[in-house]
Amino acid sequence: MNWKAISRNVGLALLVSSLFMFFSVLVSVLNGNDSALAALAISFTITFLVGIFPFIFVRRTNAITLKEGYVTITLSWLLSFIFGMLPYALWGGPFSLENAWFESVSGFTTTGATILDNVEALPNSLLFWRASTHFIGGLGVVVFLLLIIPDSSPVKLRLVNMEISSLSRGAYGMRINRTVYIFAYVYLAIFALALILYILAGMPVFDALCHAMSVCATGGFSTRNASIGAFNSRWIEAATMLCMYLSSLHFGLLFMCVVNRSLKFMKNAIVTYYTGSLLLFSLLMGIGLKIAGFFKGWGEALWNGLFEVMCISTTTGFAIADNSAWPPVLCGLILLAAAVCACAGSTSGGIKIDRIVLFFKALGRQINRILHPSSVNEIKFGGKVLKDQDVYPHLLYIAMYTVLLAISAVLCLFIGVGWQNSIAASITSISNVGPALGEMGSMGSFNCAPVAAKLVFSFDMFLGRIEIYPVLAVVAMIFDSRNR
Amino acid sequence: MKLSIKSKLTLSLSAIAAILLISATISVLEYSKMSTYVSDLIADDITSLNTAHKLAEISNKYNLDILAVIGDDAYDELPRFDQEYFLSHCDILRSSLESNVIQPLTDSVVFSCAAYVLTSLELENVLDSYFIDSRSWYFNRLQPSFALLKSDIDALETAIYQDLEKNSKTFERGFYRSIIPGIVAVAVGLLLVLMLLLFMLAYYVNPLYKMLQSLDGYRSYGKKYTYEFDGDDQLLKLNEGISEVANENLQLRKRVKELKARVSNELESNKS
Repeated sequence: MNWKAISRNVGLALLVSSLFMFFSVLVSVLNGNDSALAALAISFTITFLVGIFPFIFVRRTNAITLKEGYVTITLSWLLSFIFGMLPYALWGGPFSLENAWFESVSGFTTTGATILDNVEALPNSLLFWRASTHFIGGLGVVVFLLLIIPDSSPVKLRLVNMEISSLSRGAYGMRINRTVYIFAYVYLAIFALALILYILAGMPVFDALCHAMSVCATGGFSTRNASIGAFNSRWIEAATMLCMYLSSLHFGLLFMCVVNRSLKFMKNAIVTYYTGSLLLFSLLMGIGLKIAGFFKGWGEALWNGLFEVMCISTTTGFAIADNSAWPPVLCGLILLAAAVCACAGSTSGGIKIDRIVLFFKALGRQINRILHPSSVNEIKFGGKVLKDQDVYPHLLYIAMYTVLLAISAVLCLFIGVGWQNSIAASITSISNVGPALGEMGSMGSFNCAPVAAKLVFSFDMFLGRIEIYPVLAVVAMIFDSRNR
Repeated sequence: MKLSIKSKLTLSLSAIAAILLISATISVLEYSKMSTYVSDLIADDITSLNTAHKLAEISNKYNLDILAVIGDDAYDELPRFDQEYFLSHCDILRSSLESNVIQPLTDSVVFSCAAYVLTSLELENVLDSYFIDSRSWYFNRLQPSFALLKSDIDALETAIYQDLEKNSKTFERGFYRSIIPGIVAVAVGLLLVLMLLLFMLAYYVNPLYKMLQSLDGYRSYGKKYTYEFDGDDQLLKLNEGISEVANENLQLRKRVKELKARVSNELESNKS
């Protein structure tokens, strides 16, 4: 194992985090040296020194192996979590060590679940750091790293292949090295759009900045206790929904739409399925809310239903209403939306609609095979005929997602979390949605969960964010006798 | 940018020194902050406890004086209750403790005290009166208000004790919290030391060992010096220099050997 190359690349990822810590220090200074200045300044110094340290000795490396790539990705994420929790742990307040870890993991994985009962008690600089963790994690710690690595480096090609989901990589015929830049351009464009729309809709500039960082990453951290609902503005809610929707589409598709100045790429089957499922879930949610008597008018009920479904499906996790008292049927709808989630190639988590479509196509083919054994059965996806070996990893992913979900829920039950919260919080954690149900719902927090449960949920978030395989690869490498 | 060995070592050790400096600074700052904060809290609690004891003492003494007067049925001077002194102590309690529980309890003590003192002012009339039995007045009128005052003072003392207990727990928690930054900085310092060790071994110690091994092969068995490694500093130049010198030396030896063979051949041909 070439630890020298790994340490250099991981150091680069830490330097990205330290850059945002430095911005947070500046925010603190602009806010008249608020109470988090020392915590952020110390965290910045420590992270910067650790990040820069390998650069003193290790020269630019030209090649890494597959295994080194997986170790680089896993370590980059894990060390970002560890160093990202420093500002919280050093600041104190409600952040015990496990709470700081949970908040950091939730931020970097763009989950948006929080342990804070009173977000507004945090100084602005720490709120900015929370939003920054979303911003870094949204594009992916490793993608930030890839933006710095030169195009010609084989390291880049290897890491792009591993970090970016195989579902999103091949689409729209882009060169693999170019994919990273396209992701970055679209990501920054959505951030800029969100920022402008929020300011135009009347949100204060600081809140607009934090929410824009959060929405483009489909994160969910807000600067207010009542989340987006605190602003009580339909314009802000509409801007949020638009940006959430854009962030949950394939970035390559958005890029092609802009470059070709045409919406023909939106006629894609996946986008149709996704948009259709969003509208269907929203309609059901709206009707449910009206029948249950939570809202007086149909308009209000449908609007709230649409917002809630979009927050869950895009894995953002903002809120305008308290879902803790909603009836079980609506909770079931929320969990279903949380499991399916958005399109591949976006910043969203979860199984992704692409895999669900693939699953149903594979199921249809299997039934067809049973009924007509001699017929030619093939799966067409995105205009291409897929081979079994291309479909197999995605079906396996759905199976692994379900197994891990079950393990997580059972573990939480053993720890002492109620059955409803065990299932709901496991689903929303592994899908990187954020808020669950009940006391961990849209207006609640995860502070009520036992320490061990918080660790389980953090692990779920991590697995969900890097789509399980890299972690399993590293674990397998540790136990593989050929590596010893 | 190429860094020399000197610069690399200086930079890496400076980074470790910076981390150690940060950890030391954090430890000192946290310690001083914690100790001042906790000392102040505990000092406030102890002062408040003393004040509450004083309140109990003042009211007990006054009550005993009243009992003595009632017991003797004769008096030279009526007992005097220093209400100003009592109330000033209550004010001290109110200002020194910020607890939401203690403030209303202090107010209760003040109200009970006022009721008790107001009742006790009847004493002179009771003693002068032929119709009122002073003992029954005491037990029926004064004793209940004294009991109320006493129970309020006890409740106040209990609340202050609880506050003290809570502050001790806060101190315990705060103590662990205050050492976290220090631990983090020390852990990062250790991480950097480990990384430095890894790099020193990988970039300097191991190449030096391998250079020596190659040099031994050259010296003992006349093998070619072939060791090469990846680097950009003086050690690489040193290795290249050794390689050049050793290989030149090998060529020279070969040449000397050839010359010797030629000379001996020529000598032999001359002889024949």
